[in-house]
Amino acid sequence: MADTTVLYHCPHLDPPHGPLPPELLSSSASLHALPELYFCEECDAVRCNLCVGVEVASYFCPSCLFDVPSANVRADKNRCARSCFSCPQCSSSLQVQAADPPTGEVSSSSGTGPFLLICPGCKWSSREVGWEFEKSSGLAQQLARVHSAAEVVQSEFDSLKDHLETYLTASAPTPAPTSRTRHPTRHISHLTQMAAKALHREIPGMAAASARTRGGRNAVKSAEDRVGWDEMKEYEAKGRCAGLEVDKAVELEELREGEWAGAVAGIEQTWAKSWDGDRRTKALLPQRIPLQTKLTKRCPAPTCRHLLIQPDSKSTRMKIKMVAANYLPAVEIGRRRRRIVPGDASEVPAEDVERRRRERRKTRGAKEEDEVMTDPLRPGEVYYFQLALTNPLYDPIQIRLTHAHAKSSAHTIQNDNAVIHIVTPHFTINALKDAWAYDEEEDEEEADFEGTEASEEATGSIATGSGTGSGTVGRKGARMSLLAGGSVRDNGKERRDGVERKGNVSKVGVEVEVSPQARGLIEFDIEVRYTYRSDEGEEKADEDVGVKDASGAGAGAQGGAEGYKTFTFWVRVNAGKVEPVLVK
Amino acid sequence: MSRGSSISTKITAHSTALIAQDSDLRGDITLGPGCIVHPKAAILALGGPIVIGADCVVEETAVIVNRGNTVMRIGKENHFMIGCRVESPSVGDHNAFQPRSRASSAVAISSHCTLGAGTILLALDPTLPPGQVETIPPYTVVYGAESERRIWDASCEATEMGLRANQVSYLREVLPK
Repeated sequence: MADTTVLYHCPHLDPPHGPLPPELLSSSASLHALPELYFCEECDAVRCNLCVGVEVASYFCPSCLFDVPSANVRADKNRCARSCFSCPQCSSSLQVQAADPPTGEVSSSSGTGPFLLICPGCKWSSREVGWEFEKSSGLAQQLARVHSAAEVVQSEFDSLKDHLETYLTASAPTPAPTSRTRHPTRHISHLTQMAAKALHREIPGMAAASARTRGGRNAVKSAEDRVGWDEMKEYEAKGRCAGLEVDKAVELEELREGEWAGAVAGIEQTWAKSWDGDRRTKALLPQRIPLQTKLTKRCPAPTCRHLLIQPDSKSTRMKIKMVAANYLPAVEIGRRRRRIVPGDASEVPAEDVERRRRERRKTRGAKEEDEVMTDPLRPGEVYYFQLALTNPLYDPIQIRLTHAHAKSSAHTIQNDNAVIHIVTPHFTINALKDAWAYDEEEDEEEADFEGTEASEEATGSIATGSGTGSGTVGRKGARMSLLAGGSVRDNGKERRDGVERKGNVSKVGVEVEVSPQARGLIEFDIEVRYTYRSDEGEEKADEDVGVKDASGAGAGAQGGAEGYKTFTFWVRVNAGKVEPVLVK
Repeated sequence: MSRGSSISTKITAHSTALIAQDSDLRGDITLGPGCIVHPKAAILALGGPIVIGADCVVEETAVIVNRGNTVMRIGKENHFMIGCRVESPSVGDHNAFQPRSRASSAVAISSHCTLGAGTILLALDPTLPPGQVETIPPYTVVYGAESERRIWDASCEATEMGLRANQVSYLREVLPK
């Protein structure tokens, strides 16, 4: 809980809107981390796992990574049919190994001996339950022949059916000499008639039998019928009910006497099995590993239904992958610093607080101390964080950060716990470039930066940083500026506009002043609006500092000729947990 | 090599033992024939001496510490894998300490045991007075997130030891290069 997080809001199928304020607990349901989100290009909207439409694409075994054709899945009872078992003790996958030959040292691995299942985690061996195999593959089939417990029930049913079947077929073809052809079944006893319908229902192929039954319902109870009554022999069951009871008694005895810790299988090991099963540890058998699915996800908008995720059945990659990280800037919070205020900072009157705040924001060079992100925040202190935004697009983007919920004072958020001030609400992020492009651009980029620095603070025009227009600076000149302006440049970055830029990442500061009565988590919502161009060219200085309309438009094209595109999304930042200092 | 801060380092190693230059050996250490000490391994005989038997392998970032004042005896053919930390007063033969396992000083380890990856071996009885030591039975396997124990029936042990012997002979060829 002390970790800082940044979660993205998904408005599902509603027109885009921000989340409910963090004070309302129900608002947390629609927030997700960026790696879990998808983005539909057609609708220009964020989609999350809760709103996306899901279909099963294929089934696979997590242990052997074999793709099971959907036809076999039902037959195999959703489990792997190919020698994948899970250890009964620690539920990791079992490996097939050749057993040690009984005589002496083994100089080379013997591939022909009996095979065992060994757990690499807890060294459990299938010899403990008596499983040994002749071949190292197809273990499931070898098992089914020899060890299966379900066989007992099935074979019992089969022999019962056979017994009754012989009786049925034996009596049917003896027609009485005066019988009418309409009732061929009247020699079958009343009992069998009723039972036959139920019996024959099990056998799909016996259409003739059911035809017989239908006719036999109105059989006349004549003396000839009674002849068939006693012919059925008594059925001898193959297994005995008493036998089952004996097994159970042994189990109970052992459970009663044995120590609970060792003899009884724990909850972790038995919760997936049947209720009646043997509860002793030594009777735990390895289970076949259940199959898992690969899912296809679609956009839920009824007119769209575009594919967002489509897995490839042959490998782990995806054929189609539209994840939000490729479209939305990644927002992260980090680098916490605490302002060191000399003297006692308690009990300051309200007007003074505001005045101090303004002073603080104007002056720089105050003493600050780096802190670990997992330490709790203290009430009454002022902290500075950095928000790092990473641009996933190949074009530079322009960011505007505002407070998600208030109408006025769009850059300062105030709630009971803290006052949060976004120091730099408007800034740009450079485009994402491939690694080889960086080597070429490096020299040009530095020279370019120096040149545009002066103009940047004045008009707020964007330094695209892509360097395409600055090829005029010679290489030598660039290197000179590097050497001369090295240290100055670093400080210059910070001092100019409060934005640190490196590659396609921009970092801006956020000031969090924790009020003395704060309790719980410091959370605040930020609306992030980014603007990018699909065409190349200079962007006009178009910063709207005081724009109050919360943009509801998803893909609005602003400014006809330039071909802008704007997208807005909402982010909830959790800056950490406040814990008061314990007074001794 | 070895930095003895306040401890004089005295290493007695058999001629067939292989000690990497980058390893940290302090105190009074005796290494048996065929031992292999990887770079960045640490064998610290801070309190008392450590005696290591034949054919032991101590991998990178493994730490063997002796803080008590008695001799810490380690048997032969033990495999101390990466990141493990052993403080037990005595260790038997043919044990495997998997990566990041830890053995406390209150437990003595017998032979053929396996400490699974990431497990911690503590004395079963937490009220044991600090002088006494609990010995775990041979063929114990410590496994799982909760470091549970069970006894192994040693199936496929020979295969495993054969595998290990192959690894050791490979290391002996390759490490000096």
